[in-house]
Amino acid sequence: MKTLYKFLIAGCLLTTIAGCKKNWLERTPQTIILEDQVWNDPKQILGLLANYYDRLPTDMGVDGNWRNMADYDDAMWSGYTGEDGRNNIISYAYSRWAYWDYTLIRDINLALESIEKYSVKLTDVQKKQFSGELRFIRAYVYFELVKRMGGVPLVTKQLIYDFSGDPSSLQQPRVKESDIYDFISSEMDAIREDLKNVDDKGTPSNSRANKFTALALKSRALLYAASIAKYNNLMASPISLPGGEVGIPASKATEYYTKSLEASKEIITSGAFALYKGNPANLGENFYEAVVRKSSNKEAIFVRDFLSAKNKRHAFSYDNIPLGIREDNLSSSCITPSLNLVESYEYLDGSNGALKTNLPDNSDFIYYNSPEDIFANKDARLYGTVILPGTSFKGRSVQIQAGVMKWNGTAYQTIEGSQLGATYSPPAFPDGDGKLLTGSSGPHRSIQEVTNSGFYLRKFVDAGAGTSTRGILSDTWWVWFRLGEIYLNAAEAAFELDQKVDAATWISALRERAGFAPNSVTSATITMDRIRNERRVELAFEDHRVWDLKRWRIADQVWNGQPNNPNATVYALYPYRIIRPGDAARDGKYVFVKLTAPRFRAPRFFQLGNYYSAIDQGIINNNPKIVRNPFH
Amino acid sequence: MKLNIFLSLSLALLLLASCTKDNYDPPGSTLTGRVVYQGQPIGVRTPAVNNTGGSTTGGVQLELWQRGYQLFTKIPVYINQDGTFSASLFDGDYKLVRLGGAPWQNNTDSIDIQVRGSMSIDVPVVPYFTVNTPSFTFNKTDTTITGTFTATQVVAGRTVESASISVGSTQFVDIINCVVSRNGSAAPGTPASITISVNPARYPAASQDLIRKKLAELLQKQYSYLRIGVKTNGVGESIYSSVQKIDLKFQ
Repeated sequence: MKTLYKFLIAGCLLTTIAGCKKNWLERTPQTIILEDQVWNDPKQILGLLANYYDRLPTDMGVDGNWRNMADYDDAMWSGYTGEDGRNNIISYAYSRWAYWDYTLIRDINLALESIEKYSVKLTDVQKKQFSGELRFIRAYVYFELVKRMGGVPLVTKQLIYDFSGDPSSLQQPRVKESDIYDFISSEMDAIREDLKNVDDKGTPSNSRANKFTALALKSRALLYAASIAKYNNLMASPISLPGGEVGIPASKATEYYTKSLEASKEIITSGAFALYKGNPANLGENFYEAVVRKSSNKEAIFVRDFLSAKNKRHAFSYDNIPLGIREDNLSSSCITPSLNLVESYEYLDGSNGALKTNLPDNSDFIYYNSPEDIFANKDARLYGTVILPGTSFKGRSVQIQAGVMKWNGTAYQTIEGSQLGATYSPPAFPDGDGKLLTGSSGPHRSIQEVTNSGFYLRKFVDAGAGTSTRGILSDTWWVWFRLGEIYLNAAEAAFELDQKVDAATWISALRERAGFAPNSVTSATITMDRIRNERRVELAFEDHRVWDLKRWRIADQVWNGQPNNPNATVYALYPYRIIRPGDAARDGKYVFVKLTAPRFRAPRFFQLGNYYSAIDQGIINNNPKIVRNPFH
Repeated sequence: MKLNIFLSLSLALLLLASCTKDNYDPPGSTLTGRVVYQGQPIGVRTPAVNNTGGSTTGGVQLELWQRGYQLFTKIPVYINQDGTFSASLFDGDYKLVRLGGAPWQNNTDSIDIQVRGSMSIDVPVVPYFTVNTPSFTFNKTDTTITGTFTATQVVAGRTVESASISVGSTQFVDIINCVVSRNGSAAPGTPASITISVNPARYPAASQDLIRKKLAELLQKQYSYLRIGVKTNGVGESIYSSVQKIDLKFQ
């Protein structure tokens, strides 16, 4: 027995000693990932990158802040009545577009320095690739900062506090507005050849930065810089600060336009992208697919992608599907396009897009056989963007009818139902004909979650089965850049540089896809107003309108808050069925009434102080070198 | 068990006790004042409260700052349409700043104010223009209102972008807050007039249905409030005349 104990004790001692190997206290932890592990593993770096891509901001999108689509003049809010404030924006708050994400900038700077410091196992190509992508994201963030706030502190290195009690070394002043744009331009030039992300067949990735994404950012950013340089100085008193933090000298406009045009041209001539023309039989559907379709779509340059299989989805379709065809039992019809937007789509013969509801001398309505006839011969992009009365979505017809108009011998009596899908029949209407009174998708003046403007949104709403239910949700992507925009950027820059033939060619190409005749715009007929309208109709709901109006410095005139300014108010179009027995030319036909959307309360009001957002007082308190923007 | 009762009772007592001890009194002093030029108050746009609780909503504002506290944020002071303002404050030393974007010359020199109980001050500003001798006549034969006024140049080198007449159904009237308004032009120093129709039939477009309805109401009430505004080139806010009420009677 005793011997056994001795052995046991000896054995225990031995194992303990054995455990005291040299690195006992310096073993690799099992639960913590170390810096040199992260920065030597391409998969982990990619994970970080995915996080940074995901944090790029938008003013509107398909998830997060998509509700902002209802806040301008392209659409209104028709959903939950608790958010009716969106139809009653007395004026845009000065802090509305404020953005100050130096946390993300710091994360990127840290990542860039860590790659330099720790990555030893990565190849040179990989290292350049990752650094390039990080620098692309950083430049994109700076672009978002400059377009909202003007010149901001340009921080490209980690700022490290030395605990001396004096933070002034961390406090950087704002740089000139043009410096940020120059920084974006030079960064894109520096990294574009490092960015690969192009597969074996030469198809560039559209969810990760590559050479063309960099060019697209350059194309857009420098166009913004150029138009600020030009149009800000055309204002009666240009918005500027003495240090140039806001405002770009007019002399730089040509340089910026030229550089933007070069970048756009390089994308267009590369052949890597093409305007989507997969559905030539139906040009309206074709335009819808150009934005939404994810497979074999060579138009998308850079997107924020979603994937059901990986459970990255969004509820945009759930919230915006027309009420009559919704698949879930709650929420629909939040963003509904305005008549203003619908009328900005021209007729295919090039005439003004105002819808013809009345005879030219205003003596009577124009009677249409079916609700969709009023939209005949319109720009196909209208169908691709908006669900119109009488059209269908997901293979189901969307019933849009406000009520009936009954002829009483001298005038029409307008009758609207209190319920959706109601019929005009007894007992409520003793002499009713039993046919439809109010469509199952409205429009209705007061019921929530049904269109108030007479239209529904089609762009970005998923046509797939079940995608508007909360159980399935949708995975349509959000388009940051697509070739259509690059055409418009190129056309605008060329026009400003007086290269009107080129400008007309690019605009005509987009219009031709929408059903216009070839060369519908020529160098003789192209104007700045036309280019601006093309941007509005082509890029509706893609987060361009407010930024475009800002950089052209016309937002304060277009949305001037005055009740008699038709641009600042959201209008609706209500279709009615005619009951006039004995008059075969009119009975059973449809007429349309234009009106101010009933739930819309206050005209849009954009003030001079909105051109640059207010910098939060907390930021100025922490860093007294930050100067405030004008008017704040 | 008994212990539990005592515990909960004492907790409740504690909660009650905390209600008095560490809360601030509400600000007890009031600062009132007027924005004046040559002793006369200046008319501006009516401030409005927005749907999110009314931080910034246009109108013209002044701002108050109080140094020496950790939370250093501005206290916005909105100016009423007749040029008056008021703010509830704690006693203390404040700086008052005249913010840019207003219809007067930019001057961000702060004014020191010692608030000790209620007090009243005049804030001097130099407007680009002033609106003098506004008068309004109603022409019942063609249902129009004509406003006559003189825009007087105060700051040299500035030009008038537009002048406007705004017709409202309440005394809160400006170019944003009105039934109808119309822009015209005005040469500084000479009397100018702008005529606006209040006949609903003159607004036939489908998109003007709201204006038609509001004008019909206005003619039924048989009075309206009017104001002239003068907008300086490159300045967002107009300077307004005082509000006047006129009868819209056809007899």
